[in-house]
Amino acid sequence: MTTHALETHGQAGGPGVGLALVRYLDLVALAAALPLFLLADLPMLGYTVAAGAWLLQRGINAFAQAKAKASEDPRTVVGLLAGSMIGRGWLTAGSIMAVGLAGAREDGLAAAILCITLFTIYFPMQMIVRPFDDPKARG
Amino acid sequence: MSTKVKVFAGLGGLIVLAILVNLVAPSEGKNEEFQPQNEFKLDPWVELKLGPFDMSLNKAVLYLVLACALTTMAMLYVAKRMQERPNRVQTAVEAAYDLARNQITRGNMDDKLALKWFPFIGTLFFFILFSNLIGYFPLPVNTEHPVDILGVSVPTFALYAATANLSVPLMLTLMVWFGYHYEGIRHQGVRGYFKSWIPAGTPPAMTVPIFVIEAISQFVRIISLSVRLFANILAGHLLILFMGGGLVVLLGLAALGVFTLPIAIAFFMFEIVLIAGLQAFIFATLTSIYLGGATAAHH
Repeated sequence: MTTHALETHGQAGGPGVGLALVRYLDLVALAAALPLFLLADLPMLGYTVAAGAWLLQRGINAFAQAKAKASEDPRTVVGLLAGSMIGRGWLTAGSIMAVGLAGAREDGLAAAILCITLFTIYFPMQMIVRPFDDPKARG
Repeated sequence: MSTKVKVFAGLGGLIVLAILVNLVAPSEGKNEEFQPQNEFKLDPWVELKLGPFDMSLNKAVLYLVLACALTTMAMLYVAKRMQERPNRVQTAVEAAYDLARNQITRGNMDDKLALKWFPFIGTLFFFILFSNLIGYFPLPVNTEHPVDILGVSVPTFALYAATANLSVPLMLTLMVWFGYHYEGIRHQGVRGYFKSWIPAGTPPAMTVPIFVIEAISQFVRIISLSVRLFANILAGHLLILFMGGGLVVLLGLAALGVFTLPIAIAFFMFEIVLIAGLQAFIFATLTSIYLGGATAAHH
């Protein structure tokens, strides 16, 4: 199929601003949700906890990816990635449950909806961005 | 630390975590309100009745439209940006295209027929693949439990897939079923086609029973092809639903989530990485095999 190329650009395009925006679209959505929460008088405790949990799990993911990239042992890589995935799931679910118990149920509901919204944005965007990544630079 | 110690430490940690969760959020008893089957219920969003046919727009229709749009957009996007030195997106799409054309289609029929049927089989493959994939992204489609934001009733997030509804795989199967019979008859004539159902060398006395068995098997293909796709995707969604919180809510036992959540994450990854693509591959491959078989002179 490559030989049927319609256009020849020579070099594959490097990552640009658009790609960075797609990569961090969940964080843009998280920031955009703040005025919505304020305007709609939605539970701010839910927002705060969801935002904290989301940012923390993003940080853990970045750390685990960097560690996995540095490792040459496939078992360590799988262990790190699987462990971080499960840990991040617990962290997010636990935060939602904690805020629902500590605050009102509406706080928990708001945190849950925000986290799921962010996941819906984050997951497909990572799938889109992943093939554009340089395997050596992926983190 | 040895692997054995690590495993025991992990299990111990899980049990401690579950006890802690149980202390913080003790059992609330069974939840009778939550009806998991409603996650797959199709509420009409826009009612459309054409005589006896209910053509109402619902979330399954939305997922079909999304799958069509994504398939078309993704393929057009890549096709318009073809390069001599492909980037990784182009490489991935080319690999999928190559799989659909050479392995699935040309591997099961002659080149002339493959040229004719590849657009159909390739479209089936990519459409089912995209349809399965978007089924694993939570989308705001649950109109049963909306939330109020700025006075607007917004549906809550849910997992659903068009292929988790039997009518979609069934319609795809019927297209395949009529398609390969049409091609078989066109190729061999009515008599020749039905004659090809009977293996060469069958004793005359066995001709009728063999023909009847073959006729039954042809109809069973409608069930096997459609139900395989439907059941696999539905089962995956059910597993994710129950492990990802459904069981916890149903039983009112938060501590159970400590154990079921990692299973849900594992199932989620398994479904999205393997099952979504595998089911699309199986459906397209069987379509190709049926077409190839229908045009072959004898079994």
